[in-house]
Amino acid sequence: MSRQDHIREFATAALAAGRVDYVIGWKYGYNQSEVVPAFVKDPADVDQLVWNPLCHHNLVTFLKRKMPDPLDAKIGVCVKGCDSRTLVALLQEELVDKDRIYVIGVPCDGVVDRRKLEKEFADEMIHISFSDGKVGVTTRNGETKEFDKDAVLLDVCRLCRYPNPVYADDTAGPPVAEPDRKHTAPDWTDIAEYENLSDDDKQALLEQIYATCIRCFACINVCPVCFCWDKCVNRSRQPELVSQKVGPKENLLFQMVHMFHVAGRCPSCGACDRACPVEIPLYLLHRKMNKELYDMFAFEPGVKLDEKPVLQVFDIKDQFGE
Amino acid sequence: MAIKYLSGDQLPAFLGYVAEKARVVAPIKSDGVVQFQPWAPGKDVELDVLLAKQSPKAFVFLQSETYLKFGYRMEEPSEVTGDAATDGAEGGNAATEAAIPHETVEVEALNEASAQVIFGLRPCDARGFVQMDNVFGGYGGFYFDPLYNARREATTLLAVTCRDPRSTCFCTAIGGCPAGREGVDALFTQVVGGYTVEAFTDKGEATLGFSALADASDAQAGEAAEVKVQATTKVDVPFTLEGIRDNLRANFEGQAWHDLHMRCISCGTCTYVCPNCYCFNVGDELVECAGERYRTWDNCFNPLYTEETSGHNPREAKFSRFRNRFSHKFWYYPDKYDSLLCSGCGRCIVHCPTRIDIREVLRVMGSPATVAGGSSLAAHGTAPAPSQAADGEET
Amino acid sequence: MAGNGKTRLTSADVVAGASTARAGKLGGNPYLPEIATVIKIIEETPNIKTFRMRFDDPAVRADFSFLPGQVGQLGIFGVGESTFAITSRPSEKGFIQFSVMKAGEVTRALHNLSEGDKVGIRAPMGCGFPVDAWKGKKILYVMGGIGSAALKATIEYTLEHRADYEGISILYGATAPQNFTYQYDIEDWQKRDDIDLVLTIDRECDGWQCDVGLVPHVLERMNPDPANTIAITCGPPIMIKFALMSFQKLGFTDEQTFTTLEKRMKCGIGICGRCNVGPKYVCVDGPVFSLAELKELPDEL
Repeated sequence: MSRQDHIREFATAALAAGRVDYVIGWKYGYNQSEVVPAFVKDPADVDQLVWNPLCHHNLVTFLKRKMPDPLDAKIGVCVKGCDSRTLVALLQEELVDKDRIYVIGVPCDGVVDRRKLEKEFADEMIHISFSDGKVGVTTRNGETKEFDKDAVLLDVCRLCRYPNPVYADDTAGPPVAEPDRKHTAPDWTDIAEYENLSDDDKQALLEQIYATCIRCFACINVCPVCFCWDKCVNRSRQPELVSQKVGPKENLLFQMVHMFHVAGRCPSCGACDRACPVEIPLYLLHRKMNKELYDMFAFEPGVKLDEKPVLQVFDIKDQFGE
Repeated sequence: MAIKYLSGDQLPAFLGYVAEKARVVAPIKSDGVVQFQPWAPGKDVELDVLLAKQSPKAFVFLQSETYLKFGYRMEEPSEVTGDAATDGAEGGNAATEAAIPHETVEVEALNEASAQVIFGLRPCDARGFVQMDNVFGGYGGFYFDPLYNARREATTLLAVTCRDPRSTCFCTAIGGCPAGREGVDALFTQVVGGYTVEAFTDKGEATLGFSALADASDAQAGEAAEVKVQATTKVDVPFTLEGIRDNLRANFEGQAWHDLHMRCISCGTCTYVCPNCYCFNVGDELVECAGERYRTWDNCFNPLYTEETSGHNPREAKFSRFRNRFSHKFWYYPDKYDSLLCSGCGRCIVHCPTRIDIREVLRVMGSPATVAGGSSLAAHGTAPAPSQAADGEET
Repeated sequence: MAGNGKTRLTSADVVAGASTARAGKLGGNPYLPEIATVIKIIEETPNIKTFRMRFDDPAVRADFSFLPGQVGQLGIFGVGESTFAITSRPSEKGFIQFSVMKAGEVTRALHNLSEGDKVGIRAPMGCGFPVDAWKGKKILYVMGGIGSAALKATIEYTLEHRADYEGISILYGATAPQNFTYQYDIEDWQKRDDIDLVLTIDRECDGWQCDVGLVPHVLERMNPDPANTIAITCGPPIMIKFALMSFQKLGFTDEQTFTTLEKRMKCGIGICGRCNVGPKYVCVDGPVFSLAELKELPDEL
């Protein structure tokens, strides 16, 4: 039985039993090169749900307050490994009611970087298929090309330490191979280039990459741990702490606020990165923050249900490295 | 003006010629991302990509624009004469006031607009400006916006015909076209070796004094016409607009809005990439005694957009904000301005983080079945074909 | 020029750089406030103040006029602007008056003003009450709390032109005696024998000699005859809602019933897109609406 079949079976059962009002999964978008979040209320619609390496959305964001419709809905949600960590982060702070959710865990061996694929073609992609470690793309004018899946994975997926969900009520199929976390440290080579810059160069780089920010709030709204999204301090009026003007300096502050506020709860799932319409490499700083937290506190966000986010608590006896 | 021809290798020189009298803005690729940016000699104009991430509206309707500067200071006592000495009858005494140091404020209105030419936009982008012109231009007895209009009057739009529309384009469904003329001062169409150039307005003609522009041959003109026809056939017509306004009104309280909006994350991406969304916010900043008033883009998906001081928020619910955007574009704005507020560019579909599809929304909301009370989206043919297991799902 | 004959304005049509106070809709810069000085502050209630201001520019001072029910954007440079109904009488020249309840960032800053301080005003804006069309009719004003500010200018106008109207009734409710605004004017109204005035407070209170009861209940007790009468209401949203229901019960038609709406506003001139209820902007199509007009609009109040 494929994982897709498992997901459909779990969703059907949960809906039929009235355990949930709707199940959130993934379905094809306007063509078969795009996958979008699916909200299934009726077991008859369960066949919409798919599972493939285009399923990049972190669906936990739809559990945040003011997102559900109706507000008090019982919700079923599919989560990959990274997604499950954002859910655990929310549960650590009791921001989501465990009794109102039903979690379908989906072990994941990597999501494809659609933007990377897009840049391989002048024409529009309209169909993406997967088989045997290969990714096949067809464009509107009939051009086809094949890629090795490993060559077009998302950067976050290459370095993933938690491919199997850390929290789930039911799991869609057997686990995937995961790294030996006890004996291997996380791989931070993706930010090595940034880390080796001088302070001045870092400042210049950050100002440059955030200069194109259009303050659309896609990153903030798509992030599951940006729980205050509708009352975000970045657009608070009383008090007004962040200018609404749009410019490199203001944008840098905006992004810094976001980065610091999610630190300790963000597992670098990369949803922000993928949501950004102007392709700012947002998760660079989130990765950097996670490295700092790991080095300082041996902490990985969203892993243990009985932990609290490291920056949300302190113990007078805290020491670095413990 | 007769149809002209510009050889492809002369494009940089042409832009250089135009740049002598105006700032040139064009779609330019930086780090793989195509956006409208100020052009300078040496920069490549990106015309192979159909649409830049955003429309060029930010060059006429600035994303962030200071329009008042002010400063407070204390004014020393002064002689009071004439009117001021005697008109204190209703309260306050101007003579007393002027005799002591008192606060004064100086306010300066800013409105700078220098000539600019936007090259390489598509007809849908140009149409967006025309739709915004109605709002900012006092149409139908409303007010005149000096900030937008100063820039608009100083801007010339040189559009390029779309040779290869995307599957997400739907300009023809709403009265536009890949070679549309609305708002276009001059239209470039790619043909073999270069571009045909047609000026539609005096402004357009005024930019075309470049020496290397020759009369187009009949063959070139014919080829351009063929490009336009071919492009138009490639644009899908995914819905009919007939009755859309009435159906939107009838469906206002309908369940369909709840179903359609579920994956919306209520950000502002669609509004900020759109050629004609124009809502804005106003803010004041003051540091010690000097400050400014500015406006910035805002969007109706902002959860605080309609929040009143009392705390009451008419659009607190996410679906109500979602409903407002589409209703504004296809019902409220047409009621006021006799035009739609959409160009069919499809950017909102392509850049929405969850690919909300405006065509799907219009198809569902425009359908009599929705009015009759059907709420399952599947009933409207919006669910994609079932069972993708055949795609070779791996695990 | 659009096919229906409507045209857009150009720079050539407008008065360059002029504010709304100088040139109304043809003001070339409707975002530019006129500078005014606070000349008097009246503490109406513990959280409502009336500000009387004089435009600094003598020409504006002399020429400024407005229709009863019109509003203005009153602001402090550096803090921001908010929309308030103009509460001075249209016939009083030389100054302009607004009543402000302390509630948010701008109103808080306004309440900190002193005489002699400078403010910015963009006025007049919006549509007023159709007082000319109402000549010969009876006018029934039903208001609560700060709603009195929205109706004040119109009340005073119709009182000044009492002979043009067949009758005037005012029902004004407040939570407690100290929460009535315009107590000095109410004293004048009480002395008149050509209007009906009913004041009511929510709960019994020592020394209170007028009515007791919530506005909609007192209204129904008054049992006004809807014949040839215009009913206008303004107040907290919940009071408006029940007052409108009471008017219906009493037999007032939707065309006879009016209210004035409040919304979050920014530009005040129908451009920024924020204050819409369906296709209507509260700032230019309103804030005055008849119930008939409101029923045409989506329920998004």
